[in-house]
Amino acid sequence: MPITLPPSYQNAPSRQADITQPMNDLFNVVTQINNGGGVGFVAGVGNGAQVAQQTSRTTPVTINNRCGIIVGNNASLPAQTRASFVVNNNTVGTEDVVVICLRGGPTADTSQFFVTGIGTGSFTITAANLNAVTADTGFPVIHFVVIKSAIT
Amino acid sequence: MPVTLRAAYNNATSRLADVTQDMLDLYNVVQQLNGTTGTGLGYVTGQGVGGAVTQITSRSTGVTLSKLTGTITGINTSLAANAQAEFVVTNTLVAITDTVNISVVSGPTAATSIFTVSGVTNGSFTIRISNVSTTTADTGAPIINFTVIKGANT
Repeated sequence: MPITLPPSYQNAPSRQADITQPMNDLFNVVTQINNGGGVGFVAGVGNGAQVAQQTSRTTPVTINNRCGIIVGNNASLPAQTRASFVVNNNTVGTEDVVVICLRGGPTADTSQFFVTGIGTGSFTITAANLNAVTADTGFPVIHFVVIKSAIT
Repeated sequence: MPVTLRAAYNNATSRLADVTQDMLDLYNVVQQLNGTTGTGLGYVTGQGVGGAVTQITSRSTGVTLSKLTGTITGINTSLAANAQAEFVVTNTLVAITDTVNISVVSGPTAATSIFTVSGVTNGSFTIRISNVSTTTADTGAPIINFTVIKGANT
């Protein structure tokens, strides 16, 4: 993230005599963001969760977390067809962006996954099997992160 | 953000006798980013960081919105089955090393178009609309949210 601190914070850890402990702590936080673990959420504090889709590829799931993993259903998705399902998530606002990343699962060279709807309290994922001949019979494992957005 | 504070900050809000106001402020900032009751990643509304724009004329008409986040309302001219269209979003805040994320809120005719970011460069990014239906034209006006994530290659 493009966060910077005033010059007085430069090299803070090596200037303990010049700065206060809270300044040093803030320096370390900003360093973690910009040069450390990068953008994202911390594991182990309840930010994330995992859910599995039951019954079919259109069955909704509920996961009220700002990041997590959805294990989709593996019902056959024929060639050149698509299926959509709603992810109920009360952290999502209608102006937000939901980023998804497919970890793996689909039959080779078949489905791609897209966010095709956003609403207050939910988003929609569509699996589109773009292969002309092969059905997708795999369990997709989908990562997601909610990014808060704004129009003002 | 994957940021953590040292142990002295644990439960700072319930230990006001032990922590300074600066520590409390920093604790609260980190909680907003990471905490289970925080707002998470992204941008604050009402601070001018976001904007909205509407596409006119055609699906390939460029739009200009120089914000780090916002909403683009696309035009609803017919996009034939198996057809594609691209438009440029001119945005002075975008650099060639950035990542632009988009989500479609609503709009496309059911089971037709998908939207991807197909280009990023200094001052603009490109959105591609691919109607992957083999039979149905897309005549919907898409509403697309976006966020710019700053990146670097050094």
